[in-house]
Amino acid sequence: MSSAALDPSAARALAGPRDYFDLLKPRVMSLVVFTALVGLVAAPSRPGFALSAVALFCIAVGAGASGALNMWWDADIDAVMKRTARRPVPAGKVAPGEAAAFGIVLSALSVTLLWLATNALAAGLLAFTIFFYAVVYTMWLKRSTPQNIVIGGAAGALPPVVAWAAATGTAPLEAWLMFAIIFVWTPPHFWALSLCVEIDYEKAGVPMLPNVAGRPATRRQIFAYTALLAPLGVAPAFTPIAGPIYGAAAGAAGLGLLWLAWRILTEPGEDGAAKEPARLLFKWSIAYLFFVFAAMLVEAVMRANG
Amino acid sequence: MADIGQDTVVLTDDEKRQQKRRNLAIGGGIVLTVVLIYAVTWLKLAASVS
Repeated sequence: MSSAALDPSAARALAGPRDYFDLLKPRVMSLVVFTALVGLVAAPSRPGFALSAVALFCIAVGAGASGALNMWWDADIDAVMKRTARRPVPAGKVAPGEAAAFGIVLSALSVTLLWLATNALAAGLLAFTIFFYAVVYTMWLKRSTPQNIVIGGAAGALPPVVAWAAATGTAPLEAWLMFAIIFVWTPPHFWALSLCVEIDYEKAGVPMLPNVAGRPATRRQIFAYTALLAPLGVAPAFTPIAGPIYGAAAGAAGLGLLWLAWRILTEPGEDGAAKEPARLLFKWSIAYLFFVFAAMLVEAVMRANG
Repeated sequence: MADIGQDTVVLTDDEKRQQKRRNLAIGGGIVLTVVLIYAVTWLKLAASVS
């Protein structure tokens, strides 16, 4: 584990509710809750409002727990990067042991409650998601391979599958299609950010693709993943969870993304970082994911109401 | 065998409509809240990269 130089007594004196909330990585949690909600609503049956709300709550808390475990383990590298130095553990507001205990307790609670409220498949998938993010990604891949984002992205992509399983007790192709969209979306989204913003991963010893493989290789991989994402985003139109209107809209949005990825590939700029198209792709990728899942949500709501 | 705890409530059409409207309002409220929080959070992130 990391060894953030902290005075535990000082940490206890300063820690407040906001610091514990920040340990849950609220931004990632909002993505998790949103995509899980779409999985829940798109599923052909639901367990009713109360249990649906409990399921969403458990998925959100489980995601937050894995965030807390990530911040506990990564406190040493968070402390040397400007972007993350103010997180509760490296800032000395929460002691590392407290962050770890917080994450473990929330993990156990969220998985157990989801099992009691819904079914074993959903609870098992949530437990796997937490394990994958906290252990496979954080403790193993993040510091050992420049493909860390690719494989670690699986954890962020699983919530709609967990939600679908909570609603129906099954995890069919449609749910895994939602998983695949988020999974393939993650690498170009992060790599575009790492091209257009100077992030001090090198100082922290984290092997991010631009640092290890170089900018031309990063630009090629952004294009390759985007070329895969554009048709994948349309695929739900050929399943019961979405229709032709969704397909046309997602296709157009995917073409926009692909055009920006092409610009990244062919307009490297003076420093090879393709900063301007990378900045646009980063922003458009955020809008794209929102748009695609919001469209699925609208179609599901319309279907549910006749 | 004794029929214990098997009360059945029959709703009138009007009550069913009211129940559906109430469910839609609660469900819609939850959905809109989640969508709004997600949209605002991530749009702020997009705006922060210039």
